[in-house]
Amino acid sequence: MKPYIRKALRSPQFLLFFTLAAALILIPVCAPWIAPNDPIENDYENLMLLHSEKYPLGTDQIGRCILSRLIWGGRTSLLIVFVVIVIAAAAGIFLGILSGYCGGWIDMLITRFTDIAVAVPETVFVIALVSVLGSSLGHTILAMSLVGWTEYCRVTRALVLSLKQNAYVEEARLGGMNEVQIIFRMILPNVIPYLLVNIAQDVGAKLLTLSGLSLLGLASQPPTPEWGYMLSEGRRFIQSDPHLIIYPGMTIVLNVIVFNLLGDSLRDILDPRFTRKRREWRKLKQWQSIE
Amino acid sequence: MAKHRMNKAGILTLALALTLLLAACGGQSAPAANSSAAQSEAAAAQTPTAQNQTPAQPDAAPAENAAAAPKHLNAAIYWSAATLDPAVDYDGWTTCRAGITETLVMVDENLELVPLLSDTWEQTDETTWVMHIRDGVTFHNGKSVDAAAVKACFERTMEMQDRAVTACKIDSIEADGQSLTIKTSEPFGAFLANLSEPLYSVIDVDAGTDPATAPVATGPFMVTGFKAEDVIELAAYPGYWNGPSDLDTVTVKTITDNSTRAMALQSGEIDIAQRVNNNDIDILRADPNYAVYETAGTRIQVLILNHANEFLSDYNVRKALECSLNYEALVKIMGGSYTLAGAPYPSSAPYGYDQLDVQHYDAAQAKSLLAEAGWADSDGNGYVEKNGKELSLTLTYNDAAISAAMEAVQAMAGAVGIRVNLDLRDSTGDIDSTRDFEMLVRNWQSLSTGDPQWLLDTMYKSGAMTNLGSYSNLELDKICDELSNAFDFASRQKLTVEAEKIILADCVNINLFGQNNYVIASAKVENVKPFPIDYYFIDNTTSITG
Amino acid sequence: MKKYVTRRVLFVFPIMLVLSFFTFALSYLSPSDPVTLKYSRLGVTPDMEMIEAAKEELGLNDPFLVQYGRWLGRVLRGDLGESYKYGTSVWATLTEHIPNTLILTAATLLLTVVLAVPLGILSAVCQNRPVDYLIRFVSFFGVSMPSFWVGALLMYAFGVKLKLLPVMGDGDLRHLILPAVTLSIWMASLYVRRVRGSMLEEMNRDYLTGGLARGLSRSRIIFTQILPNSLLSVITMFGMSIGSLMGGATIIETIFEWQGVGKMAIDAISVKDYPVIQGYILWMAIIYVLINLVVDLLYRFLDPRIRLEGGGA
Repeated sequence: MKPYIRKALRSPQFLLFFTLAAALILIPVCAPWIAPNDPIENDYENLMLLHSEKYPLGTDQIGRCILSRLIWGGRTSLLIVFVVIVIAAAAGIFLGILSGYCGGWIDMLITRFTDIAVAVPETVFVIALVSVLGSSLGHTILAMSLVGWTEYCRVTRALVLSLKQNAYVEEARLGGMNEVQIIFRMILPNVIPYLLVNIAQDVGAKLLTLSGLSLLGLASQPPTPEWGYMLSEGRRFIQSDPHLIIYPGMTIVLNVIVFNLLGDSLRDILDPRFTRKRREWRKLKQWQSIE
Repeated sequence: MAKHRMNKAGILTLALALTLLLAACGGQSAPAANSSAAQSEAAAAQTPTAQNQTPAQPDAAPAENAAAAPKHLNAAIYWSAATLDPAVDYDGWTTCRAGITETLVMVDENLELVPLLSDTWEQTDETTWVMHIRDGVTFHNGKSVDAAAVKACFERTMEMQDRAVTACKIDSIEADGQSLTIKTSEPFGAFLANLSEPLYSVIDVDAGTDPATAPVATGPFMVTGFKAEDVIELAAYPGYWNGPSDLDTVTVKTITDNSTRAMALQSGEIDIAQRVNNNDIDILRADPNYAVYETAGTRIQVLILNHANEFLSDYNVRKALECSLNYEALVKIMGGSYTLAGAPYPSSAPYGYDQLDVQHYDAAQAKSLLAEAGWADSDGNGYVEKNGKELSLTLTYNDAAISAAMEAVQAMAGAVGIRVNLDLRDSTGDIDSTRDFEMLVRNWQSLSTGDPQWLLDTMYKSGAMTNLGSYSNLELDKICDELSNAFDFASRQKLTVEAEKIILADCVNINLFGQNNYVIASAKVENVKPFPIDYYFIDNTTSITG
Repeated sequence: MKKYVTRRVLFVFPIMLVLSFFTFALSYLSPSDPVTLKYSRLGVTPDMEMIEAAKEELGLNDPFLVQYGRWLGRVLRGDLGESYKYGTSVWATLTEHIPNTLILTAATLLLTVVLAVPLGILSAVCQNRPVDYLIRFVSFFGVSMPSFWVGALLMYAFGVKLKLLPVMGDGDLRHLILPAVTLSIWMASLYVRRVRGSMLEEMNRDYLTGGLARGLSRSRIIFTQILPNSLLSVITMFGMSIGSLMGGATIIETIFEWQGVGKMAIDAISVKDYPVIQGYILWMAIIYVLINLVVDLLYRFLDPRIRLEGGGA
């Protein structure tokens, strides 16, 4: 772990995106102090304002401050996404370790199960589950987690398989460590950094999925502000008041981009093979130009 | 090096943003692509956008341009039908919109009952009606329509659907040549009006085709293709009794999304449509390539209160809810073509709107009503409680287009201490049988068939099929019975106003807002008629130029 | 090889079992029952007696496993049942919607390949040059935008403002453009990144140095060795994308009123039309197995390394 952190601190790219991502998380967290207005207060005298001193980004169709709703909306949107990812990642890591470490029929079963789960179309599954269990945010989160764990499981399994071959795991076993200790002391610390890449990129992916689900009315309970819901509501006003769809759309895009870039920069840090090869390639090119 | 790269990226960002901006704005200044501007402006000038056009000429001759290119009309409807069988569900409303089927009588642009397939009729005693079936009407297969065919059709419909039995209280039907004798099980003043409900569309039941996909009926258009909830392909029926349509073919497309429907009009895929989003109407109205036909509508969005609910069974709670809503703000949120609706019938209908103590906004009264009934905010969370229970109600609705107004209702009720939870569903159809709801929004056709009794009988009478809130008041039931026995307009009007007074005094439901009816068409479409009742849409006179 | 194919095809049955079990559990747990649904369509409020009679008739009172077995038996005989909502056969509903989805899938894939492969190659070959930055920047935007947002903006720009294209599906080829473009903006962006990534990885392998040493030109190495190998690793992902498209691009199909299987599934779920939902799941299972099979076979066929390692595996 430590070498990675040291390396991360030396990477300007990572530091930049990390700061940006932290800011994007902090803004909603500090919503009560920085939002100019109450996000659920209606001003019936000022519907669909484009801009005013009181409402910097204008008001929506029932006179609520759009900027405040965007700031507060992050709480719902990002929280949903993080909860889903935590559940999905925990389940995926657990199954991945089980599968990779135990091998045999357990591995076969979990792999096959993962194969099937990957084939399930996310949106349709969430809608189906919610229609049966009843419409609530909890059920949407559950459904999203139920289809979201597969990638974590695959990556974890692959990492565990390669780690298992590693000589020092064998040494540890000979040295008297039991299986649980090996998993927690040797496997997990080596798996998690790699999964951070997936997690960062998953934030973007899940934000996009969530905005689609909002269109179908599955993400948040009004009047709680949520980006996807604002976007889908704004769609009806695309002709008359496009700012209602532009602002939340830009907000989502910004968040997705920052978290994706964060993931990319993390991968560059974690993948020494890739960066080393890149250096070689550059050398190769130099050699070529000399030629 | 890194800095240099960043600069490049920055320039690229800027360039891309500019390109996007130009692409988005470029369209505004560009002229309308598909029609000569001068021509369409002239056409628009001729097209009335005001209310109440001149009534249709029933015998308008079709244009004599046999040599001209085939004329095709693309129409869009906003609700989809699973079948084309008028006897199923409300699918008859779709076939009526599309000009496929017709009823014996219809309600015209002025909300008056006029002859259609039946040209004359006579009430021989309190329960007997003799309808003369118009001579010379033929089904799409050429078979002429006689009383026996109508009888066979009605009997099939009544067998398939309970609503067909109760709506007209039909007891027996007899056919003799062109004369159809219908006996009702009891005197029923709304008989004739209710006969205009598209459920009583006349189709040929012996045609040998499946009415679900290819009904053989009498309207100006016949079905040539059908995909459920998607598209109906039509061709003009040359033998139509009232003069065949000038059009050759029509495509009726289901577009359920209001924004998409408006955009389809603007992109030219659709020539005529019912209902688009309000803010889009203003844009279309300002555009000379389109004409907006508007008429006072009879639809009202009603907040149905479940009287079986522990909170809503209390008059004070219902009244407090009613007083908590700022109706003018709601109308403003919904936009231009929505109207105040303080009573069960719209102010445009002749049912004494001005004499009534209509719903009004009074937050102070709402608060005192709640306090009077023992509700108080004891835990300081902004919502009132009584006996340890919070006054919390779930509002169920299924039309995303009214989401903004529903959120406003939530905020308004919240301001007096009533917690409202919103529950937007894809469909609320199952509630008709389960009745599992607290508050439910439905878009009611308050003057379906042009007669007020329909609403009272089906929505307010004790035990009525769609009296979903289980409201019951014997006095109101008595008025409904009296209405059945009242056959002249003045006494029906008087009884209706009395019924309205009871309904308002009991605070049965909350009428949120009314809705004007509008048809939006390209300026090329001729003879568009905005009917107050939305199950009339295109007919044999609807046409299109070039 | 034959043995392998047979095994893969046989694998459809356990999947079907799991999936159909899942659907059945769904309909079993669902709060509203098909009988009331059927009656409300006919405008009848059924009483308990009628409901019971109809339930008996439809066999809804039998134990779960019995019903499940019966359903499975019917499906094996090719009978998918009748839609609760339309009253028509599920088979007809499926065959009406599947072609639309296939058309949209094909168009999207075509656009994706046409855009992603050349741009991905260009981006990799010109690594860290302005072209590379431009392509990466645009593709980054492409994968970061909510699809229905893009769809709505495109509808507005090309349908309403420019009046160039129809805004909804169905009809001639022109109607296909906007939904297909909306889908492929996202997909092409994704694959530009993937093609680029796998190209770069291949470029780092030793044979490039070897090739150069043997005097082959750089472009020749790229097109004859690096490109085929790097596309190979993209194929698996591409298979999954095809699968997800064939399952219906739910959101896009909905906003463009495109009558594909995704929209069909959503509509069926909203009215709890279980026979249609089951039909949809069957379709998904078939796609899944077929795609996997094709990808595997293709992989084996194309990749010399696997071919050399022998037939058994």
